[in-house]
Amino acid sequence: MTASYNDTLARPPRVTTGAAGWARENLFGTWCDALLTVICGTALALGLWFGLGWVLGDAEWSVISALGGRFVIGKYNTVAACAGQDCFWRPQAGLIMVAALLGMAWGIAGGGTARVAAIVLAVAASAFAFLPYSLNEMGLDVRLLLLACAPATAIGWAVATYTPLGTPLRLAILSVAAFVLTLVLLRGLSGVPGLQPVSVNDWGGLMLNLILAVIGITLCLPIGIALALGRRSGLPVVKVICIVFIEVFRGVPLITLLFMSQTLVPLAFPENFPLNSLSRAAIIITLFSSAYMAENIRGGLQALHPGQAEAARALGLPGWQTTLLISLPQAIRNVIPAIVGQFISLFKDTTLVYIISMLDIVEIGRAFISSNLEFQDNPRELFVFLAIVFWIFTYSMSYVSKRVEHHLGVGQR
Amino acid sequence: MPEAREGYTIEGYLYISNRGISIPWISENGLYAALAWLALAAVAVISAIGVNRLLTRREVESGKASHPVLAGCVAAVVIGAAAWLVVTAVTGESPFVISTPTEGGRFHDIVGGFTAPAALLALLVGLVTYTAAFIAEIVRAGITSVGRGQTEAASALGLSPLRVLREVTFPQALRVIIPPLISQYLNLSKNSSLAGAIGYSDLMNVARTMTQRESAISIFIIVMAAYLAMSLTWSLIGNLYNRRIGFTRG
Repeated sequence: MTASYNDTLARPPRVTTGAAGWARENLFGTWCDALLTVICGTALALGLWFGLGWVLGDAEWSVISALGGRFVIGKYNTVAACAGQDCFWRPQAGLIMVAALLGMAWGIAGGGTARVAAIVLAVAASAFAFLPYSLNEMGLDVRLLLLACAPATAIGWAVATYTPLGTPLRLAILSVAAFVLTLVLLRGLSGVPGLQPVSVNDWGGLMLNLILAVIGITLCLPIGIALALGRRSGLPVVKVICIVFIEVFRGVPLITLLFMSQTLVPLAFPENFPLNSLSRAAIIITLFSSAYMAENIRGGLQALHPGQAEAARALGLPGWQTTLLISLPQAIRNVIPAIVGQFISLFKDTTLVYIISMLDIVEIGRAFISSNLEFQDNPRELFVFLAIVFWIFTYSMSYVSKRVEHHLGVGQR
Repeated sequence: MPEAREGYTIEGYLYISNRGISIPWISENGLYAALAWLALAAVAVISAIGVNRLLTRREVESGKASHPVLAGCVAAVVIGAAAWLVVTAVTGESPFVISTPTEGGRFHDIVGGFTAPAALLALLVGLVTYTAAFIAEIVRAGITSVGRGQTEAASALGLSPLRVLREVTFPQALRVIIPPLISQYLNLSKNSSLAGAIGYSDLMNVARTMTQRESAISIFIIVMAAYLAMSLTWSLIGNLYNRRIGFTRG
């Protein structure tokens, strides 16, 4: 009797909750999963073991602290660039404006990604104010301006919440104004005391990468959309022009385009033409990326069923409204990952400006190592550090894109 | 990577050191072996295609799953191996001799087998993983762009998840994927110029060296033309394929 009772009694169901259940479900679901888990786990463990061993043990991080602020602004604050005065406050003023704008974005959105970004920036800037340098190496003014980012964020939030400035359109206008103001501050104005001009050739470091990336990312999307629409248009002249532009700019390496912009473009313009190396680099990077962007958008456009546009026409929408209101929103939503991939590419491509002898964050490190004998054995530390810096920025882009996709319900319907 | 003397080895089979990775490889006995290889490959491929066609027709006629792709692959391996055995039995000796790497010489060079140089491996691994990450995002965009109803309808018809992906989702995803994918392949061919950074003299590196003697502008124009020719070829092939997968209206 007892035996049969035991036979009919079902075994308890497998644990599917808690850590063990999660592991069984996701890591060891099938024998194939289990094999993959073991292989990847071993590789990860080995990589972590040797990687952390090197980071904490053998690596000499003094090259990073020796470079310090030069990572951020290059030789902007040197005597040669900015003689007779301290210019560090100008890029820092730009940073404070960014903090305030992020605060406003937080106030307008009421939370979400904008809040995360604003808080991360404010906390990081405040933390940087307490770097263990002596006061001679990192002045009190520099530290105070870094600490000012947190109150700036709060003020931005308050302004967006309690004044009529808190609308997305006004924030966009303010952002453009702040960017232009930052560029003017960095460039300086001749004749204004305290704002001595600094040649753009002396701009450098992460600041240079970020300026180029912001210009490129803002402009390459609209230009790319225009090119993609042109490539699919029925007008033969427009179509041919767009195809030639896209294929030529996509077909040659960016580095040769930058080189040509430096050597050939000045020949075509009169002397003293206000087109410096920074704006040439920005134009080339923007055009290069917009050719890629056009192809991404084209992919999104051609995946739309023609019935969408036909239905819009049948409802009586004119052609431009069909494109702007029906086709483009769906097309762009389809290709958000490819677009963000292109933004990330663009940000990394800004390091190529070394070919026109501008000292971006990578080149400033490379130049420092080759000119300081005591650090000649430490390129590895430098490049690991640079990789981490770039990863932080590219991962933020990727994170924002994931949030945008989630918000738009990509893949949900 | 450790030095050649202290590398990880399985004596006579595998050497991993800072020179690269050496593995046993088929040693080629000149033209004879090459012809034998080609003939065997042709036999295997032709039989695979034949089996695939036959089974596909049967599947369409009878309505029962007969796994044409799987059977084709199996046929290729089995018939190829059988043909190899026949060749070996008839000629009395195998046309393929396995050459194993061995350590020798004053500088502990690896002789025989196939050696992949460490620099080349580093370049390949770097380029492949870098481009793969970008392509992964593009493919993801393509797959998420296909309406959920499509997948659900296909599963409701009883297709297995793999077949839903292969026959419903992916063909539609390709429309989003192909144009950016062409861009990525162009990027890959352009990024291969980074081989110069680890000591290979690729096109860009040779051009940089030449700028020491010739006018940089003319050399860069030649380099641009060379890359442009390469890219346009890729792009043409890609766009021809792209035209095939577009919407067709009946």
